[in-house]
Amino acid sequence: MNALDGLAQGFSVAMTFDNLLIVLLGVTIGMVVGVLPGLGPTATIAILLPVTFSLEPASAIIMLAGIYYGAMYGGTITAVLVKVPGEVASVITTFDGYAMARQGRAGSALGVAAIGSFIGGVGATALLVVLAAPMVAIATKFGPPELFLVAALGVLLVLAIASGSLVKAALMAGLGILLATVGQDPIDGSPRFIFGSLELLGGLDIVAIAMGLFGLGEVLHQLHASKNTEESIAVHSAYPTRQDLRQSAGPIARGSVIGAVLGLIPGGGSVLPPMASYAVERKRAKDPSRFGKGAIEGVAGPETANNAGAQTSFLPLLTLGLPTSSVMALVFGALLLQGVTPGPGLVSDHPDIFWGIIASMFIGNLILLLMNLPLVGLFAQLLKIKPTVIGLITIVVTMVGVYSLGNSELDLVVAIVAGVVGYALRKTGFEIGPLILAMILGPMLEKNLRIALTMSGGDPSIFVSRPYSLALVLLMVALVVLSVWGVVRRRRTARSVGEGRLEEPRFDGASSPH
Amino acid sequence: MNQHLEFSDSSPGVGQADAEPAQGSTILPGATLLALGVGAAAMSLSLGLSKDGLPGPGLWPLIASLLMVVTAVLVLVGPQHRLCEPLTRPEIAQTVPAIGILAVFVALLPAVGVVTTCSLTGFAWLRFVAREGWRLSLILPPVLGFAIYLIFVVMLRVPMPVDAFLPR
Repeated sequence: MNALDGLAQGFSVAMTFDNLLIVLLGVTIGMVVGVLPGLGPTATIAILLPVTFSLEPASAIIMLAGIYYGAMYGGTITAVLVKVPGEVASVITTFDGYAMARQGRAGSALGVAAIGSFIGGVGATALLVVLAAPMVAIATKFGPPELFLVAALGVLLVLAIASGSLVKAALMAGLGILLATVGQDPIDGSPRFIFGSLELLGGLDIVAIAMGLFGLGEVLHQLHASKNTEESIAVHSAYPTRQDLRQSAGPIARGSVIGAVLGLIPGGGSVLPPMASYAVERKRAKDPSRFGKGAIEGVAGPETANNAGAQTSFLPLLTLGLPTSSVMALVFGALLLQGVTPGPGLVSDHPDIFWGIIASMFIGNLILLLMNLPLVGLFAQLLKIKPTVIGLITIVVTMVGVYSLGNSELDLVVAIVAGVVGYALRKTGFEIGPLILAMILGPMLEKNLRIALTMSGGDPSIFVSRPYSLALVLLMVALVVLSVWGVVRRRRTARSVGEGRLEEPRFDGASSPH
Repeated sequence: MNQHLEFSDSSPGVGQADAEPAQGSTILPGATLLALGVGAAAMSLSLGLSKDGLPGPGLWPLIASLLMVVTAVLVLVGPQHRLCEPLTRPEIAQTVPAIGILAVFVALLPAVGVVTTCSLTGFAWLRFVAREGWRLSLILPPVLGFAIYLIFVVMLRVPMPVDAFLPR
């Protein structure tokens, strides 16, 4: 099937009345949640996973995808109006977006962000259409050795861009891989770490753990988190001026490309694209000192890149079975629960799902643009909801959702323990993303490693003797060398400049909801 | 999500400027994770590392455990004072009851049904953990419980313990 046929099939799936309703529902929930302080897209997707079980697989993922990029749009509103990023990707937007709002240009900032997000989203989705066939062609040539290496590369890249400490991220990855081994051995079925409990034989429920870590853990952490003191700035609609649009055209175009490309990289997630776009715009500016004081380019570029990356990050998941961020790990989990295994076979076995999701992205982005420009004032009202009320809703929805997974009290206990662990990890500066990603990738790593070694009769040279696997190994080596070189160079520069100097802004993943 | 501007190791992050000095350290979590790694490594060895010349059930968990052990040791010997939030007495006084309410939720749900469970635990949460006023604490939880009943049980047909006074 070529891309255009596929896309036509996708639209026939996405344009059914049910699925149009689902994408509308998804993006609206995403927008609302993106605006609500404290709940990021990861937590929302985690706590709403059970709601999608009663849907068809394509509809379920269409809804989750809608929530994801809806939250990207929504997060912008809080970033601009109250200087609180609704999700980690909007941190950059607070720099210039809030400054613009203080100057009475909130409408311009939000309008440009919405238009940029739309252009970036649609452009990136178009790129997905183009790249789908070649990606699938490569992916179908992958056997167990290559799939093992792809998953290992995914873990490495997640570690490489971890926002906190690399060692802590690696520790979390180890814990995630270990937790994933609870239950039956994937090859010979022998029990591991079940401590005599038959209920544990099926393994720990990753959805219960994710809901606990992200939902309950976040609420517990925010119970005592410092409250935001910034006043919300009023806004009624978001129509930028002609001058705004002229100034933003370049940043939006560059942001689309940067976001779409970085979104494809495992670990690129939602943090890298806006940061890269901001850096590029500041570097290109005639007067970089305007940045941080209300430069519209600093909103247009990163917001565009952010949404473009959100769309393309679906490609590695759907074609290689490789989740590139916590959100994608949860979507992976949702697909598994629907009986669909993401990976090389997905596009040929379930074209309706693959192309349906892509077509729904075009529709969802259009809905979001139409919703954002006139209704932004309405969504901004949500900023008045008390955090304690949001906390209670999160708790109740999470607990009821976890119970609905299998009517099991064990799942609830697992979720509460995960919630307490998630709280403790947030307090001590450990990131949760690598834990969940490793838990998803762990079984893929182990199964493919062992099948590959069985294929070769225990000879590890199978990982370097096949062309694709050799290329992947070289890529991994290059990545490690580059990261080590980067660290060494940064240390040397820091030493030469001397102690006590202000470093580049860093994003404390520990206190983020992701 | 706070954005921290990090200064050199000796000064606290901007986000913590008004809190008490970060006394929290990663020793407790580091030691816990180290113990977990060591325990898991020992259990992995007993599962068997190889079988007929091929990897056995214990090999993969052993690799994960060793990764944990090595990184946990690095966390323990590394700098302890960054990216840690202090745990204060008022926070403990708020968090422990919050976890208790979650445990009560687990006990109540199968026994009395979803609406009563949400109403009771929601009231306790809002009034005693979040310290909201009586009015909000009394009105919101039953409304929320009923909304959950409508969404999960009536609309999504999820099997769920339902209160005796409600139709299934």
